[in-house]
Amino acid sequence: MKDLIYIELYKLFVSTRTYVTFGIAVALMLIINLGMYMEGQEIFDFLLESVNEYFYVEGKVLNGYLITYLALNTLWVHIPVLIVIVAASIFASEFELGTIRLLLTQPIRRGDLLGAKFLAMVVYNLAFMFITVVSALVPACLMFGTGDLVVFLDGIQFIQETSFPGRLAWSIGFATLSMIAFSCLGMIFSLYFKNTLTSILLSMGMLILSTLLQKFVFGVFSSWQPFLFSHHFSKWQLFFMDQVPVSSILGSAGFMMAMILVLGLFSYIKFKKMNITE
Amino acid sequence: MRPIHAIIVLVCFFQGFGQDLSDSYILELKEKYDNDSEVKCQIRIRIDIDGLTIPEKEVYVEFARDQKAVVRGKGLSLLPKRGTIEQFRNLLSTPMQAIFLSKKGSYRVYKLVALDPSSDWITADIVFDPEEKLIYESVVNTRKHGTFTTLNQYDGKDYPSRTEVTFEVKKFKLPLKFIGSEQTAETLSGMNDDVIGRVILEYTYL
Repeated sequence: MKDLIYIELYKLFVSTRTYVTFGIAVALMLIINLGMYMEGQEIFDFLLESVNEYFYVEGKVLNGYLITYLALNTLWVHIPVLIVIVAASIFASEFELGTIRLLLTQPIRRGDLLGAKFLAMVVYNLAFMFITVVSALVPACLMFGTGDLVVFLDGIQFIQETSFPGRLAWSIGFATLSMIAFSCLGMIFSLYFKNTLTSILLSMGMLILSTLLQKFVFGVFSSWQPFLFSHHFSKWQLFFMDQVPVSSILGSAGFMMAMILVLGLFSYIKFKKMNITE
Repeated sequence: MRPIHAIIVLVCFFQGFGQDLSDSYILELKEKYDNDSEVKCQIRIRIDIDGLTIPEKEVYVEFARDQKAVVRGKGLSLLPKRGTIEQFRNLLSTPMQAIFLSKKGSYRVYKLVALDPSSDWITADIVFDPEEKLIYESVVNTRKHGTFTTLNQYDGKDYPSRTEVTFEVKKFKLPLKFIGSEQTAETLSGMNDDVIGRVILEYTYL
């Protein structure tokens, strides 16, 4: 098992695709920083217009913490797209290259092979999230310094600078869990369709559909919310609320773990029963 | 005499009468607030407005005549534009008509009417102590931002030790979509509601 994990990690980190997604994530974060440097003050003056009517706002609104928080909004679509590209290829590329036949003729258990690939996918998710956050936080703090955070959730909330690192760590942990759950979607599609592109497209289609339905918050659609994975993925934001709604976050974390478990189980069943000549 | 002449004479008469700030109480009050040139203090600010969450803050503030208050503090802080100690100086320095309304215990109640069309406020009811020449209550109606009620407490000094400002405010708007926040049906429906804002300022003078 240890060797299998090592091999999967080796394959993951020699793949150009892995570094391309890292590079895109870094570029995305730098573009956000640059955009904020050029236009950020105007945007926030506009957003805080209603507050400015009644109050003198003193202090630095536009700071590194705020930009990092804004950069995390790429978790809605951009980051899942990049992650699923690699996650799907971890599984589907073996089918596309035909190497799966060679692998399955080796004296290894299929469960171990799937487990090793799953762990490689988890490691990729962790590495991706780490690189994304560092490339958002470090340049932003160097360019803009640190300060209190203004969050536009349920009105306007001012979050103390001192509590930001803790909140960020929790939200990144939560976001990583959601990205692993989303990668599992790529994994199961890869096993059923045995094609990277089809898996990526299907995963993205599911994400778009879920996000779209999430926006239909009226009438009958509102009852769908708890069943939409994008609804649960978006809960990383709640760590930046003044009063963190722990029960809501725990509920969503439970949903995502159940999603990982169910998708993992179906993937295992499919992989176990798979004919070697498929 | 033509009717138009009679109207002009009447208007001039009442205008002149109205602008006459010969009421000694108001003149003394105006003189007192005019004398205050520069104030340095620490203010503990508590803000209680639906839709705006901000922790209690302590800031250092310098109030100087005809200048924007200098505020220094840790992180972000919000200082109300109305209701601070400079409010009454601005109020009394505007050309206005003062009308005595009643007595409230030993305090006197006046209605002030701004005569300058460019002034921020239209009318103000003030309750002050004629002996100490300190304003304890005020209700200021502004042109753009509704009514501000201020309650001052004094601790044997010429400046308030505690001020409570209440005002009506439109619930702070939720951001545009690019911020990426999730908007729910409940938050969308409550966006245009008026809410009561309450700010408490506790002063320590330096």
